[in-house]
Amino acid sequence: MADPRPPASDAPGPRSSSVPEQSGPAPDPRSFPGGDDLRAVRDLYGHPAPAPYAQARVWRRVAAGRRRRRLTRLSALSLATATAAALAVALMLVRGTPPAVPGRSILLAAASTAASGQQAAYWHISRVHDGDRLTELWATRDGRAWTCTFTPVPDSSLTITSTLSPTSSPVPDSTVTITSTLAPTSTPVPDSTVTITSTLAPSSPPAASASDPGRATTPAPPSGPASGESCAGHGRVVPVTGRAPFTMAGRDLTFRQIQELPADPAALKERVAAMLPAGSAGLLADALSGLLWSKPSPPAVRAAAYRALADLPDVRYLGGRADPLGRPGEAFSYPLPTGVRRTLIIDPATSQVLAGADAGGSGGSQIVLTAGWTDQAPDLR
Amino acid sequence: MTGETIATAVPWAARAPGERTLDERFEEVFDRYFGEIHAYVAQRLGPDHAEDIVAETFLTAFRKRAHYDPSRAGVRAWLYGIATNLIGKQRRLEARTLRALGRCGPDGDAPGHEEAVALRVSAQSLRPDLAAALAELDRRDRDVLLLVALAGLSHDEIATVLGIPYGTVGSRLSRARRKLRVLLGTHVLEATHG
Repeated sequence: MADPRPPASDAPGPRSSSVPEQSGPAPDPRSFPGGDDLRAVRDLYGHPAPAPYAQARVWRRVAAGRRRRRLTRLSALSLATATAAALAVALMLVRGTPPAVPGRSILLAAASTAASGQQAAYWHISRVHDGDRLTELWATRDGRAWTCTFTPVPDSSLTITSTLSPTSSPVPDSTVTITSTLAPTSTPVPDSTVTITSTLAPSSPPAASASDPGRATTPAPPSGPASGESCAGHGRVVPVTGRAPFTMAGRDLTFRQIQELPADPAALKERVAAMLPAGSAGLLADALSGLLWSKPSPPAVRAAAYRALADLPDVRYLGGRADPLGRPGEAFSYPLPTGVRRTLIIDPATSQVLAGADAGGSGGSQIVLTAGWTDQAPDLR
Repeated sequence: MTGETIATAVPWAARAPGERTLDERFEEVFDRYFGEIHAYVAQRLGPDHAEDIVAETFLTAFRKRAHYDPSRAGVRAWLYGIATNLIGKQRRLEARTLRALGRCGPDGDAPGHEEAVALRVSAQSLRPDLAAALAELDRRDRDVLLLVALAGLSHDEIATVLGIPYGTVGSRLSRARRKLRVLLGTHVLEATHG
């Protein structure tokens, strides 16, 4: 690093600096001519944002590790995660001895129920993601949409009421507690437990709001959760701007495009398959089932989606199973191209999807609290 | 560890005068760089494993703080270097993430976190091939390419934080870009004639 030249004369200049010069100017990588390749790379990787509270969570681990001088054993950890995932898949396989015919008839029954659904002013869904995050989405026919996300802070509890109550008789009227760590794939920090307490509402009719057709102009009685029980009671409802509120296989989908989907199962399957990116045929089951719950599909389209799913070879019936809130339903699963197996629990009597969970990968889960049409507007404060 | 301080020459963050403990400054460094280090790790390994690696990155930084030479690289570049080395130990995970990036993600829908992995790319059809080409690169070439493309580090920063000669940075970067450009050129041709 020593400058080979004799000590510089007393004339100060840039060359007399003791800081070693770099062997040439460092080009700004972003100003390379023809940087299309670099831009394509950036586009490919996108801009993943951290999950809510990720920074606080990671800081807690860093601070703890600093104190203890103990590092997370990443390899051991990944192994544990992989083992758990493999175990989950294995369990699912054991349970999933497929009586193919009942599964098909269940889906067709759900299709019949779905076909008779009604529409109202707002399509609304509220869901618990991964046991620790509550989101709501409203969408209207004219393409407007609003969302709200709420993550309970650690050690707090949130009482949520589901209006998707099962129609079958064994309804627990007690409180169900879901205890989940905030970061399922990372080392659980003891104080990072969030308890979401859900009280089922056995008396409310299924899809309460949708059962009030013809009252589109008069305000319906509140059918959504009360203020303390909804995301909107905790967080801000914000309009969705700059992008479509729905996606299918990563592609934006507008409200109108969803309304224009064909109501014939074969035509729907063909249309959805055509919308998938090249080489993503394995996403067909997921894209079709997305029409059942995460999108404002017209009743006839939902029915067609159920019928199309009933004919897909990779959809497997796992038998009757209660969702994490204890609501009884029927479990179906299908593989994703990522190697993850996604299980949906549906209630054929209401045609609603109650919950979804992934085995493998990040092991994500969603629990649907409310889904369907309502005349109750989002609380835009 | 109590009372332990590092030389004031180390610009951990905004260098405040007075007797501030390392712990305080370390937290500032964390607060300032968590976002972009997390983004970088999540880009390369997927969001599910990012938190583990990011925590490890900052813990490693803390442990190795005595070896950090502020005259050679900024804290930011140094953290990117640590993260890159840790990512290098997760080759299978990175390969899996690239395969997932090449496809489009599973049905996501707002307002979940799924859209966090932005799925937009100008030419959707290019995606699978680009991801495959990146996966096929030598890991060391890919490291340099991504430190340029995603982190925007300069050649000398990369040389310093990865501990490789300056010239090697250039040769690895050109090799990686040459392969990608061949791919991009092929695609343009296909789009024109196909």
